[in-house]
Amino acid sequence: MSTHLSLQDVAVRYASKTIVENINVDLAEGEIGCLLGPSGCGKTTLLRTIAGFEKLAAGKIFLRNKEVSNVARAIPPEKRRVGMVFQDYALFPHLTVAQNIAFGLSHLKKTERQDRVDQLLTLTDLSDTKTRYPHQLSGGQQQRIALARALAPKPDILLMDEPFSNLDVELREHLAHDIRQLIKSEKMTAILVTHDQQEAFATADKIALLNAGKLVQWGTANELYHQPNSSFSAEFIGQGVLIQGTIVHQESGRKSIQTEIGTVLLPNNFSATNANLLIRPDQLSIESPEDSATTPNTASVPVTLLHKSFRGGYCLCTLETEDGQRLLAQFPSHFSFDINHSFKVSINLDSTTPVAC
Amino acid sequence: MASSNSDLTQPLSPTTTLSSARLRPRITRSHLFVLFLLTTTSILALPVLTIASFIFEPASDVWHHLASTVLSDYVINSLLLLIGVAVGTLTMGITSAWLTAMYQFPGRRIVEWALLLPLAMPAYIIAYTYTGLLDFAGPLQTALREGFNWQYGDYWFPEVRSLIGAICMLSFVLYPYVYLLARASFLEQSVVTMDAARSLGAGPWKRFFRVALPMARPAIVAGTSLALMETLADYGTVQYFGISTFTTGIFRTWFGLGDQGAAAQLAAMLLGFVLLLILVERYSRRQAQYHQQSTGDSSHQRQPLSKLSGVIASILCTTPIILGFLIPFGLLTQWAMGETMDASFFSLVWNSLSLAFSAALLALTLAIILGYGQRLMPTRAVKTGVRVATLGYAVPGTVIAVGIVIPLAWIDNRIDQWATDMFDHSTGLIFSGSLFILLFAYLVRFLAVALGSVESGLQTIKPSMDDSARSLGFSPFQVLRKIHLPIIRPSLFTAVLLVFVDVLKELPATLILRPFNFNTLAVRAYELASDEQLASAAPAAITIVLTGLIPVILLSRSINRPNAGSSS
Amino acid sequence: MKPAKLVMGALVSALLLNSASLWAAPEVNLYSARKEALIKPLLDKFTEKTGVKVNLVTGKADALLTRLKSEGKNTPADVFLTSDAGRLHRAEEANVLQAIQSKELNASVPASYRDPEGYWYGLSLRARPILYVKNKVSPETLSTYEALATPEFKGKICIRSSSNIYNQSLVASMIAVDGEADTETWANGLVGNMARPPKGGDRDQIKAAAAGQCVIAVANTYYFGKMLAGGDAAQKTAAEKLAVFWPNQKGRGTHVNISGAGVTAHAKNKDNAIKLIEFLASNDAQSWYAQVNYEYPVREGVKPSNVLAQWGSFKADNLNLSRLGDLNSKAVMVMDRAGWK
Repeated sequence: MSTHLSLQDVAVRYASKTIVENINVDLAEGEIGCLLGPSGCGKTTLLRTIAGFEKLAAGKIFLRNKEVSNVARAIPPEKRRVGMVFQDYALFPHLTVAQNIAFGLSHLKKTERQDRVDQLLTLTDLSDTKTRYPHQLSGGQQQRIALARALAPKPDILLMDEPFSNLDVELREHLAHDIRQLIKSEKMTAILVTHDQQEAFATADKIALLNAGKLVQWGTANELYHQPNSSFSAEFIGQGVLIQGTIVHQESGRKSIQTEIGTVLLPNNFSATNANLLIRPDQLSIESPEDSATTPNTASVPVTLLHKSFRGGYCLCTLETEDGQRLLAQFPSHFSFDINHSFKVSINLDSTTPVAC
Repeated sequence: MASSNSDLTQPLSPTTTLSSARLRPRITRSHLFVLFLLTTTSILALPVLTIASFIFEPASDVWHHLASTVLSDYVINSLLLLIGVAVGTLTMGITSAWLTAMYQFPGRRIVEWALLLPLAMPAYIIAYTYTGLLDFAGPLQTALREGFNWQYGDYWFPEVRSLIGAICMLSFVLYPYVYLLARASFLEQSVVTMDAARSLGAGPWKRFFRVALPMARPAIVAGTSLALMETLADYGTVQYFGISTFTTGIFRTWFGLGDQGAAAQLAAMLLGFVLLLILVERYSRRQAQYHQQSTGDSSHQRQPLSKLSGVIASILCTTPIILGFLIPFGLLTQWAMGETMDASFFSLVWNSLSLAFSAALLALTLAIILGYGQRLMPTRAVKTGVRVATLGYAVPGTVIAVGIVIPLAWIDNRIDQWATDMFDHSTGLIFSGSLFILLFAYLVRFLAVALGSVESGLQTIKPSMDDSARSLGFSPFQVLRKIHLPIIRPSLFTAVLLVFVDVLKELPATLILRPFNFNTLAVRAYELASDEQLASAAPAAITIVLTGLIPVILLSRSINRPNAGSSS
Repeated sequence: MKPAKLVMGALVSALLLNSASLWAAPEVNLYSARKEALIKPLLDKFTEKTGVKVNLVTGKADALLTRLKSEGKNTPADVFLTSDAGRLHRAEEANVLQAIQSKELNASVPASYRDPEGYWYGLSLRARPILYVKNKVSPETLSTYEALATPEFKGKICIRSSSNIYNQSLVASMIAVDGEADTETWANGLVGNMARPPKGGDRDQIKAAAAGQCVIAVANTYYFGKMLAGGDAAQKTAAEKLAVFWPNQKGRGTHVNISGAGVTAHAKNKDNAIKLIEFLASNDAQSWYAQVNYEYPVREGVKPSNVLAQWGSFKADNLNLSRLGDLNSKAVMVMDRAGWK
């Protein structure tokens, strides 16, 4: 797969305020990328820069190996062949659904245009709304029209700015899945902006995690979850706690991280000088007498239950160790200890993740 | 988080307010309100209906005479005039509105408000000045003849006093209506929607024609219909230029042929024109809606233009100002030199100002009541009532005046009769010949201006906002006071100033309805000008223009305010 | 709310202002179709002389007439003044005027310029002669209004629109003498002879002739007089290129019309009303018309202005002026049919 979109050292500034900088991202053809981060991290600005709405302060953007933006020149959005779905859809209120979808198709012949519109209406399951106006439709329908409109001209890349944020939760998950299917079926390369990791996981192949205008981590959902490269990644993605640790050199020449719970070997390529240990809630279990002895490198930690929250399939609990370190744990939902109950948990230290800081 | 979704997951419907009102226990209050609205609109429609009632007089010989001789001229000329003025005002108004709203070019800040100056120029005055300048006997052609030793017929020169000339004159002074409303609409348009069009490959022209223009349509239609209704009502210009239109035809039939019935039938045809215009527009709009759906990021940045484009933009925006204001104003000033102003001049100014101001405030109050009433009670009866009440804008002032004199004098005489019978005391005429009747006439004539502005302001407020305020325990009146009025303040301001300027220029109704010894600047200017004493008319005309400038400048300041912060 | 208060204030003061005018005395109320500038100085003189205050509304004659009719017996107007005999006649027919007897008026206004029963009295006179460009037209080629329709004047005549009362009166006077059919033939010929479609006022016809667009203009005497005597140098130069020709001197005479006034049927200040009309027919007022307004006085023995005097005396059409009112609508129809814009 060839590189389809490439951001090289991209920076954007408004006046003297830096919005994003040092962004390097490559997206292969047919992949769905995601710009994930808390609000104000610059992800929307970055998306608009890819679309051509914002100027670059540094760096270059390549789309299909063609330079579309550099500091001096930028191909305007209307000539860039990007499709964009806006947060509030920005449907044209004075045009019908079909006219909205056909808006970017004026280069086609009338019959071709109608065929393409019909095709997209079928694809998005909106055929019966063809002659209606946007304000007559539900939020979910409007969202799909916005998507169909962006896809219609077969853009080189599809950009979606918080496409699900105006929808209710149930609809959101359903649509996220549908839209991924749709984009894949159209063999479209796409970038999605969101602050919601579930959305990112459900839709994207690769995720760029941004914080305060900087790219924190770029990888698959799995990589982000299991190999966070920073405290920010670790804390932003998924749940868990970071336990402070110190790096020690072992006689074997390998380094390990030492924490109050136990010691974990570091991978050979781990170069940071400071590190913490990330413990996900599912890595804790209530200790039973038989497993404590058998599993190697398992820590047995006495804890007190501070808080529990019923989540249906499981129970999310906040625990406190004797040293006052808090831990998050995910226990089966029939878990029945009361608050302030003391008990022991076992933690499989090999499954935990050391995180550089 | 979930609450913000509510307005998107259910279709936005203007009837939500109504249906929720119906469910309230105090059902009679809304009925009373509808009754009040209908009464108000009926009173305002009285003059137009009085005129229209003459239609039922049997068609006289005069009518047959008109139909066989001049009627087709009236229809064709009026239509051509309407089409021409529509094209003229749309071209000048929209071009300048688009350029000043979207681009940064040399002199933008000045032309932005100067483009409104022609509003202060009465059409008949500009017609007199241009004729003075460009006529065969005028200085320009005389200079050409003397310079080249030409005689009559040796050369071609555009004839000012022609249909084209009238179209130009009216367009020069009426385009600001389109400019004003279109510009506001362009500025309010969501930046995101334009971005969406760009991402779909739309260049600047397509964005303008396919997105910005259609989305500004309600505003542009409102502005153009004001211009066209003024055109239909214009008498001074077409009469001076010798063009037979409905208006001159009505005068001629009424006063020359002495046939009120046939004149009223002509006036009714004129109203038919207006209704047709309104219906065509309504139909073509059908279900399309123009609420901005997005709240989006509204930061509005003007695109700088290249040097050449900047110069072209400057020229395009300066031309209407030169044509509609600078040239006629310069000529008037030249004429006014050497004219003396007597002491009565001050009272003219005062009369004009106080009348215009009271009328403007009254019109605003009524426009708010009717505009908001329509929003609360969007029933067919209320809507029709409001439309009929605003028809007066398209009817020539003289016709309106007659439509007022007849019913009000009748009422006066009834009251007097009653008082004499009951108390043996004659009340005389209470309304007739009072300033009250004059203010009433202004309302009938210019309510459409104020209402148009208020309505377009209210249109930008989503119905869901009414609903949310009502759900927070606000009464409809409180919603109006706390939500709508503060939000649409610029529109209210525009309404007041437009009516102010219009009343200042108003002539025929003032002429007929004013009390004894009461003159205005427009009356003075017109009496002298129509007596062909242009120089003597110049000081009053200039004062109208200068007085009109004050609100026009205020108006322009108010239109700049919303984006002043973000543009710098 | 503040605006509401202001509006109420405006309404109340409007009503007060209105009723205030009912208390003042002695006074006389005048509805005038003559423009303020052409009548106010005389009214001021009247007040100065008699102490009677004159309240004035000016407006278009027919609109004022409608107002008068609608107001009925409660009308505040005492005197109705118009600049056209036809309108006076219409007012008389609409029963809004009353007949008055005044020895003074009967003595000062010749019988042909007043209503036989005293419903209205003429106050000033204007003529509508033919004006010609001196170095292009020899006056011998001119004779009558009727002759203007002959082919020799093709493309040579400037005359204003048929919407104007001056032309309507002129054509009405011709219908009275020549009959409707002949007048229509004449109007057809005249329209064919026009140098340009009718536009502008009387002064514009004179200016166009001076500038060379045509050689003959039909215009009222006082416009021509004012151009000659007025302060505008360009207008003066233009007017000086033209001269007056009095048409139809061998026949009925040149078309004239009057401005005049009558006392309203329900006048509350009848005595003052008569006093005002008498004053307007007085020597003083009549010479003001002549000197300032360049009109011909109706009163015999009052000299016209020097400018008018130099055109010489002429024979005026002695048609009963109320006929002009009767025939006005016929005149309009004739012109409509002839395509006179």
